[in-house]
Amino acid sequence: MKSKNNRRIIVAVSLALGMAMTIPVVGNWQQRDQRQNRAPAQQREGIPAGIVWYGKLSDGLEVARATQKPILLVSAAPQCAGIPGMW
Amino acid sequence: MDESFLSDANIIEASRDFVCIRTATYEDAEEAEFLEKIYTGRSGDLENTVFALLTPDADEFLSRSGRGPQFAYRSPGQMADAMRTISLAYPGNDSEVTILPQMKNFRLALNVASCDALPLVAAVSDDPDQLATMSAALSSIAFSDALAGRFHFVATNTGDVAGIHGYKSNPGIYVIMPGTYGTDGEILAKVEADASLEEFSSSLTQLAASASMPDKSHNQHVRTGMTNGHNWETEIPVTDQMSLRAMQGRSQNQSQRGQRDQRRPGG
Repeated sequence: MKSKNNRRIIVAVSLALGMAMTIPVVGNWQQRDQRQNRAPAQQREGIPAGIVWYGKLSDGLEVARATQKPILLVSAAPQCAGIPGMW
Repeated sequence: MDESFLSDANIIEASRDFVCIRTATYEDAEEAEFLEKIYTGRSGDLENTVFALLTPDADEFLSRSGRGPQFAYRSPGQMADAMRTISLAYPGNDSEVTILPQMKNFRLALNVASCDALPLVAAVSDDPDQLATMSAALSSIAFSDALAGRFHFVATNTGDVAGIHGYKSNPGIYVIMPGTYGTDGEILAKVEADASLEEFSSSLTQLAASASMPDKSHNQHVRTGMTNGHNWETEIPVTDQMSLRAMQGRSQNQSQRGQRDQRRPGG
């Protein structure tokens, strides 16, 4: 009985370790694509509404001061590992 | 950049009561100084992405700052609720502003348009007065319900647009489809500098409804970009540790590939 339980524990621990070691092997980029709900290289019809961004900090700050509206500030690099065309 | 928050319909709706600023990291030294005051990671250096909600004078935080909205909010819904509450406290005034929401130059605008998979609307002229008139006209329609967030904008001179496929070297407003890597593009439509605004706005609305924009895969894009030797020179040095490691890995791979090619007979 005891050895059966031990065997179960060993199998459970092995499975947990196996899963833990597998996760980082999956490509980070694939995970990122899935997180962002992106379909790989497809076309989408029509352009959905989006946020209107002031791309120059000075312009945005001037508008915020003039209109007294709060600021949503984001910055992102328009290149990934030096490759343009992708945040 | 976490697009699951910033493309959420409730956040987009709440953003209409905010002034939304999205700078390009490492593309302007002065902006980098400002961003460093908002957020730096453990290394103390400016990272690839920064996020915060701020008061109108940008002196106080209205949210926790971090690498992205997910640092401050558990879900897009929670962020949208917080934005609605903030906009009640800061309702703004009726000042009319005619500043075009645009990137700081054409090169950057084309790249950012490619990153977002959106067409770029470029007011093009070498005459500063004509450029100012076209920019003011564009700023009056950029926030309309039909067009808001569906295009990027830039005001530029004829020299900058010279390399764009289909450009005929005269002033006007051009709609440009950015290339996959944002370093080239193609003219989709052109409006004369003196065309009526209604006409142009209606053309853009039709284009927004019918355009087919590419939906890129991050993995595939970066891998193909590396293989084909695409490279973006930033205005100031990159300091994000993760990016630096990725770039180092890339140059090691390229140098190994170069050595292999040299060893090949006739290579």
